[in-house]
Amino acid sequence: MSALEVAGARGAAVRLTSLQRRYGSSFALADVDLEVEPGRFLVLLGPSGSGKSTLLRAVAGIDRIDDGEIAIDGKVVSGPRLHVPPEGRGLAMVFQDYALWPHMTVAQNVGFALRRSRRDDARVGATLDRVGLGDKAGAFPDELSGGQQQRVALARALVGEPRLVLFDEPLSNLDAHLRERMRIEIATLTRESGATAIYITHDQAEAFALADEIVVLDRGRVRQRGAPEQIYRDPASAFVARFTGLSATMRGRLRALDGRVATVEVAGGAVQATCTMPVARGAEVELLVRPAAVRLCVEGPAAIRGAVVDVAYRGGAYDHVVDTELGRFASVGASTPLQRGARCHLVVEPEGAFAFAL
Amino acid sequence: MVGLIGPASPATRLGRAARVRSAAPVPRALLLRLLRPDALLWIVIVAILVLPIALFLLVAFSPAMFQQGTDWFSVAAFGRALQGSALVGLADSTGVGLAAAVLATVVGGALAWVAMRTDAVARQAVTGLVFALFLTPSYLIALGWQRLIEPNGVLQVLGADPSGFRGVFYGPVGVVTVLAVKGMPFAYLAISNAVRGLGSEFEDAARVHGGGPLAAARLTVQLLAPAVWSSLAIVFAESVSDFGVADTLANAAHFPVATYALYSAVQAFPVDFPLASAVSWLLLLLVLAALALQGRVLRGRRFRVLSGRARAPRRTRLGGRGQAVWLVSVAALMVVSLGVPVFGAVSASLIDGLGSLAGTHRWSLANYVRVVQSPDLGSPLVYSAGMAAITATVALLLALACARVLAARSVSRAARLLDAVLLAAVALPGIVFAAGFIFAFNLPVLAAAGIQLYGSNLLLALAYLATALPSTTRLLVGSVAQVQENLAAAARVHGGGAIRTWLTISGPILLRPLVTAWLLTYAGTLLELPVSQLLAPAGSEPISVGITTALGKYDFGGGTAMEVLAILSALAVVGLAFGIVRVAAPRGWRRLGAAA
Repeated sequence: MSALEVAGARGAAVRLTSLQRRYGSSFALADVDLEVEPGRFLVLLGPSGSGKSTLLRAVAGIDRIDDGEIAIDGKVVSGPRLHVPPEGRGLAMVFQDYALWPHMTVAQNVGFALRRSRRDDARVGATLDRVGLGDKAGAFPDELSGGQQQRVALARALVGEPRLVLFDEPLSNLDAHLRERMRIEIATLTRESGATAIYITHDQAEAFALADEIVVLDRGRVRQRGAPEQIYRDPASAFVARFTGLSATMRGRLRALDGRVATVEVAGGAVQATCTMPVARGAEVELLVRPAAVRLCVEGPAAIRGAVVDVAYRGGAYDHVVDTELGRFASVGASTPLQRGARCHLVVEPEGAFAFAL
Repeated sequence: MVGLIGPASPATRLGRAARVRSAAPVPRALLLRLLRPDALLWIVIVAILVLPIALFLLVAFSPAMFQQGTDWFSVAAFGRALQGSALVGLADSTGVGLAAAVLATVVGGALAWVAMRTDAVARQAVTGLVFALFLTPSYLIALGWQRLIEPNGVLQVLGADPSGFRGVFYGPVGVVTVLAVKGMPFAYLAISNAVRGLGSEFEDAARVHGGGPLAAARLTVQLLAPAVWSSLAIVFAESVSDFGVADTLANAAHFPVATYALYSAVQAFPVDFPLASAVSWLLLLLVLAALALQGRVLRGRRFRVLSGRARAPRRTRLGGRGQAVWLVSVAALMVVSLGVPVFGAVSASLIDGLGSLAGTHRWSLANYVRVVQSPDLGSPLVYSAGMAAITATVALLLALACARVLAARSVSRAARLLDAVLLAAVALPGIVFAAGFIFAFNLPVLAAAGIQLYGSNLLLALAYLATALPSTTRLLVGSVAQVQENLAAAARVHGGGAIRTWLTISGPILLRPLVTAWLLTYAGTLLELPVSQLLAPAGSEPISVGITTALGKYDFGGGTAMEVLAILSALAVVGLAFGIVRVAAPRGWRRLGAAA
């Protein structure tokens, strides 16, 4: 039995059935069905207002639901006439604004979560050591940097060895360099603990880096669920494709379809793309192109002519913005830069270009 | 685990509903709804704030509805309120209100500017003065002046002849002076907050783009205009609502004002509630007119000067002469506002037999000995201290509940209504509250229902509560709103139940605002005058009534000794409370208070 399997056995199973939450006449969550297997790291990805925070707070028991059911390890904890309070759900949470109690020391903040399980306070020191804050036990939160505060929040969530940990956009308040370090700490420590994790974010790069599985939410509904690779390669809708990273979008008409590979006529030419959903020949489509599917090339029959509008150094490579006869392409990568105004040619790989019916 | 209600099948639900319907359909469901905390809060708000005032204000239009006359609809009471001494009172109130507003705004604004924008020495003393004046009721300031300059008063005992000055001070000049002194803290706070938020970048921008110092100053004045108008409106509203000066200096000077006309109508025999109600309407209209005028003047002229990018303003160096002028001015202000009243009260309390023509007028502690030994003089302080403690505690709990509703993330319709009710109640003069309580709790319908609160300690406590609740809530809303909801949510998620979360997280974070609010409510209630004057039950005398009664009997020594002891006791309670917090609260709790 591997370490991962041992760890996985500790996580809780979570099941959401026909979950609904209304604010007035609008739905924050509309018939959400979701199951999370024990020990999995699930990321809920969506824009502001998609319902991901509402969903997480409902699972935590901070907010109530209007209809449907939430069950943790088979035990129903939320329903239209039932609400187990947060302290009765046996979970932990890392908040976006850290939510550290300002009048308590780091050790007291972390130790709070131990009283529920009546465990030894010695665990506090060990957990703080694990997050690299062993020497900060007596400090108050306002004496710590943003990254240190978030690590205290992580220690508080993990110290009681909960079977379910919820993450509410924990990296959104951190600087870019700290964000990457904290992401790694969250990923490793949570997986080590074996707990099931539900993590919400609006950042697709963060979601792809962390998740075993991603659920894309939009206006209170689940739009797609799958492994990160699947979401990236086979977006189920234009919304999912748009939200998970694009270089260019354009409108066109489907001219031919060969299996999943379509030929789309756009103003100024034709592009080959993938159809992940059925589209009728002759239908108007939206064409969405991933950055990874666009590259600079030498002149040729399939090449798209263009001119460089802007170039940005991204550390090791260059991102170009190129205006072409088909439209503007952003994030066109190359290891050497082209000058602004330089003529160039692009090629689009059909695997990374998607056509969806309008 | 709390609050588990298992889901019921449709059949079970139908069966249960049928059973409930056949047994006791509406009353039980209604009772359960009324027992919900938010419903209980509303019951209290309606019972002590909305109903008494609404019914009282209604009697001006419909005396017959409350057996106060024969007309079901009439404006005759307004006719009487707008003639004779009532009209004179209203005109006087308007005049002194306007004068006090201008005076307080000029003095308070100047203080704010010097304290915030110059390097004036001892400018921190201004904050102390402002808060001391906040806590001192207007009648105590007026009484201090009276004790000094009245016939056979302290100055006369000391061999001076203040009769010329007395002739000037006993009238509109004295009333305006005391009201302006009492209004000055409001002016100072309104304007100093604006000055503090006004970074130097606005002046810098004017100078950089070609404006001279005058243009920059004009720009600053324009940016401060909203605060100046706020100050004028607030001080005017406070001044026309004041009863402390009306009952003391204005009354002694035979200078009628509106609040005293209202008091006289309620104290008359037979009681003239329709007239009192009409005067209350006119007082309210005066207050609302001031606030409406402020809103009209400021329409489209509110400036957002507070931003994360504002630079701290530069302080102007005053130089030797400037510092000297400042020190003399602030010393004079302290003498007029607090020095004279304190000296008047303390010196009068130390002179034996003051106020009588007979006697030796020796300096002694005899008045204090009498207060401590005589039940007539000593018991009012004990009674008021008890009532103030009860009122402050209950008001704090209710205010906390109200503040939580008002500070909630999602603003409900109920929260908006509660906000409007509490705001309106803040604008209501205390004397209107008192008259409203007398009227509402004397209604025959209550006696018929077996509720006989009039003349009881409970009614006085409820009236204190009604006057304290709006301002205590205002004091707490800001602090409660500042506490992130996630702090409590984090405690619940990590295993803390509702009570443990309150005791270990929310309570400690709010400790300092809670203690401050309790103390301010305690001190305000301890020395409260209008409600005490009208609602004190027979046989129990609040300290403010005790003081004015003793002074009314020309026992100036006894009255002022009670006054001094009352203030000292309030200061002792304040010191004790903060001392306990300092000694008993853990380090983290105290750091939080210091940071706030």
